[in-house]
Amino acid sequence: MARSVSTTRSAITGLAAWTIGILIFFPILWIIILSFKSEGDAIGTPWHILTSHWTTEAYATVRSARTTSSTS
Amino acid sequence: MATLHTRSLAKAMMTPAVAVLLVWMVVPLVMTIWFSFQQYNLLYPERTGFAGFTNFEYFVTDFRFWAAISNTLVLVLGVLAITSVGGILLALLLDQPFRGQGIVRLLVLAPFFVMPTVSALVWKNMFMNPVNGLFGHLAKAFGYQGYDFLGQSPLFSIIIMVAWQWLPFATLILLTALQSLDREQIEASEMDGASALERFRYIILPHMTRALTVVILIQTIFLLSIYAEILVTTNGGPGTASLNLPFLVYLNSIVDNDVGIGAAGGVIAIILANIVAFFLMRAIGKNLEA
Repeated sequence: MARSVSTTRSAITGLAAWTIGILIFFPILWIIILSFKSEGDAIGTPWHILTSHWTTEAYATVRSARTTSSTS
Repeated sequence: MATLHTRSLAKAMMTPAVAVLLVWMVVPLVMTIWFSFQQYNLLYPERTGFAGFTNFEYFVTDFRFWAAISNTLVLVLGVLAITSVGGILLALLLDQPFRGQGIVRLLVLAPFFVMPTVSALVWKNMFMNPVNGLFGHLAKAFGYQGYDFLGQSPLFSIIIMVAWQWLPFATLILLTALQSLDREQIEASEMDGASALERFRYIILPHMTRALTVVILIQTIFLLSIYAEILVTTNGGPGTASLNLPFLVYLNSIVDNDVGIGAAGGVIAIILANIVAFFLMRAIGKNLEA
């Protein structure tokens, strides 16, 4: 990184890289968010998902090894 | 100082490891070939004995066989195209200096560490579901109907999932190749008046060919055996739309309980993989030398 790059150019590449990085990471972020929602809330609209009640009941279900319904 | 004595000692000490690896490789292969010539159906245990080439005949004349072959090729080539082109572009982008470079690299790398089954479930239920998925909700927000990805274009959907998983790998390898490029070469070419496109075409791309070769070879090996994504999402359907060769082997040997035909399919898959590897090595193998 010996060469100096103009600030506007570095800002543009930074913006593009951050956008693409977040887009690629988004499915993982989304599944983390959904893991803190109840099953009913998790199938709502994105806005409903973000604003609904946060809960750890999914983790409790996994821990008690009691499956409510088969996925797939 | 390799005298005759030390050389034979080295051979003796290597023998156990080589023997284990040989057994590890040869026993399953020989068993597969053996089963492929046997009548071996778990539902009919009384039917045993040598079957000749009937297992192979059955597998090849199966109406799903050619669909499986073409789907396998489309899957491999599609993912290869997306990941190598996307990987080059992403590597070029991430090589530029900007704020939070390390974090962005981590974000881009993350999908590679998600298990195939989990990623397929996430894509299937959270994104591609026409009613409850995120894409479905987005489509509804703009007044369209949700698109049934896995029902309408199953193979394309699976290509997207797999490409999402393998893009980080290509990016990582190509980025490390890019970082080993001598900056002075770029500066010199700039002084000589090379445009950005010319720099990419004549300096950066030739520098990356070896890394690209590695990416393509390794990915082809793994993409030929894609199975979890198909099992979790479409089960090869609708019809034969997303059936690939490993999945057809699974259908024959596990679902239909016919180990013999499954083994024959496995042998055919091995032969095809070797043909692909042969042409691949010949086409791009010269990049690995020098």
